[in-house]
Amino acid sequence: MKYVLTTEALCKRYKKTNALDDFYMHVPKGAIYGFIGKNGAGKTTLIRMICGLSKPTSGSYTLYGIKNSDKEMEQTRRHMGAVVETPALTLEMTAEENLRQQYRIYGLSSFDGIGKLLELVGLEKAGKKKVKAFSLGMKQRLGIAMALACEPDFLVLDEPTNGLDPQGIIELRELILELNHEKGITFLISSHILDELARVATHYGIIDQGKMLREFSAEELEKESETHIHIKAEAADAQELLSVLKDRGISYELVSQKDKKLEEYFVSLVGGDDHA
Amino acid sequence: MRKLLGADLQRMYHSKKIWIALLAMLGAAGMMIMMQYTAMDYEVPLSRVIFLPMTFFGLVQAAFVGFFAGEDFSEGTVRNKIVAGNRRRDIYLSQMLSAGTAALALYVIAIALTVSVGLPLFAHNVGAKEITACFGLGALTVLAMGSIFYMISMCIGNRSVAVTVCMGLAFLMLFLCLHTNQVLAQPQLKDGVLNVHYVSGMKRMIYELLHDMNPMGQIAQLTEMKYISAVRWILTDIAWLLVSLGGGILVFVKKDIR
Repeated sequence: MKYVLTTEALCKRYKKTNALDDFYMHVPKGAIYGFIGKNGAGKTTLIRMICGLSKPTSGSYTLYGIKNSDKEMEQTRRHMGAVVETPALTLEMTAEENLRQQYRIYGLSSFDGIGKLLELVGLEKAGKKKVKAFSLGMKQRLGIAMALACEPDFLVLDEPTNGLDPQGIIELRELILELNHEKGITFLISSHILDELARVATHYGIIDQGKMLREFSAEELEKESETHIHIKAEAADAQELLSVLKDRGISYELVSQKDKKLEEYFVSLVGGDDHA
Repeated sequence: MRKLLGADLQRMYHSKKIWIALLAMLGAAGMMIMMQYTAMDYEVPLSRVIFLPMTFFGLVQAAFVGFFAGEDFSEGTVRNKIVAGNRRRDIYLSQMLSAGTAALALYVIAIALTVSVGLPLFAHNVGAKEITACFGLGALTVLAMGSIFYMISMCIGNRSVAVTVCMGLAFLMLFLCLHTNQVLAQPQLKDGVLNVHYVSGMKRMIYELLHDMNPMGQIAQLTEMKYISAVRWILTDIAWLLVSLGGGILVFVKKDIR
């Protein structure tokens, strides 16, 4: 199976607006798929649909090759985990109790994996703490731990960096990369923080007004942007390097962030009137 | 479904709402007993005390069920259940069973309090058989009323709106019950002459039916341990249970979850 998730002419209509319109998507197995779009573009609508929280008005999607109308779809969803918008946590319970709840919801009989899960998301010392005392970053990490309870092959994260501080964002990024590299988990991450997404994503899909504008891999993005020579230098060497270029009369432009390309590419596709 | 029920009962146990509802019911029961014991200048019969706290039960249950079911949406746990591949019908049923269990527990504790405190304080005019029969009918009312509130909460899918609508309905049922009760309580003769406010014939049958169909009307009958028709009471509650369960599942299965 090449793709974990595909959609075909998917539509979702709310009263007079089309949240998704003839929407196509292909999430390859093993990818970290960055799902990019402006606010209200239809990202969460798509995520809700594949999580079974809402039904398509028309069109279809497949998860692990199983069509949404098939009876096995509910069973198939047991291979995926999701954190949609905010992590679904019971605030009056501790982190461990929340995970036990999640194990029960998945119908798992043993709670043995809870310690490892907490360790994986860096909450091993906070297991006995009530969730209402958690920071947003800790809640996000616990939400991911809960989504990992069923040992999924596919993890869907909707705006995972929302409200996180820089340290929390770094920790989350490292966790995503670790899970992708070591456990082979496929990710679908919706976000409008492009520079952050560019640090982890292997594939991208750009959505606007409910339509998929384009899907491409990180390599394709790289090729399309090959108009500059990139030189990686430590901050201390940078000034030295620039003075050498200056001395030799070579014109240069300092492009500091690799992810700048994604931002530019997004704006060229969607337009830059509104914020992404 | 069994594991799902376990998860829901755990959530219920950790929820402050159930303990607040229990305190409210025990407080109401204690207050009622005290009032009956101190305010009357005659010996109050036990039959008028045992189920008296049930007057508040509809309001407490409306708030409790609205909060409990609504919280599943506001905290997002209903999303977790769906993403985990549970069938929506199972999600609906397991939560309804846990809300029903909690409501029955509240009912049992409140009545156990009034019976245990009431026995030594009030005139014994009813036997164990009558108390048991009324207790059974009351339990059925609790389940039927809970099922209606639960259906509303699950269809709305928003905690604060669900609580508001359930409480509104509880008050509506209470006012309807007060009206039907007032009409039906009129004696046929007043000072030896025919009471003009007494309703008879078809009109009386309709009033009795309305009183029996309304869970608050059933509670009003329960508080006096007198009922118009036990069979109609049971059939009405079963009908409420089936209609609210079927309707609730039908809507919830198709509902878009936010």
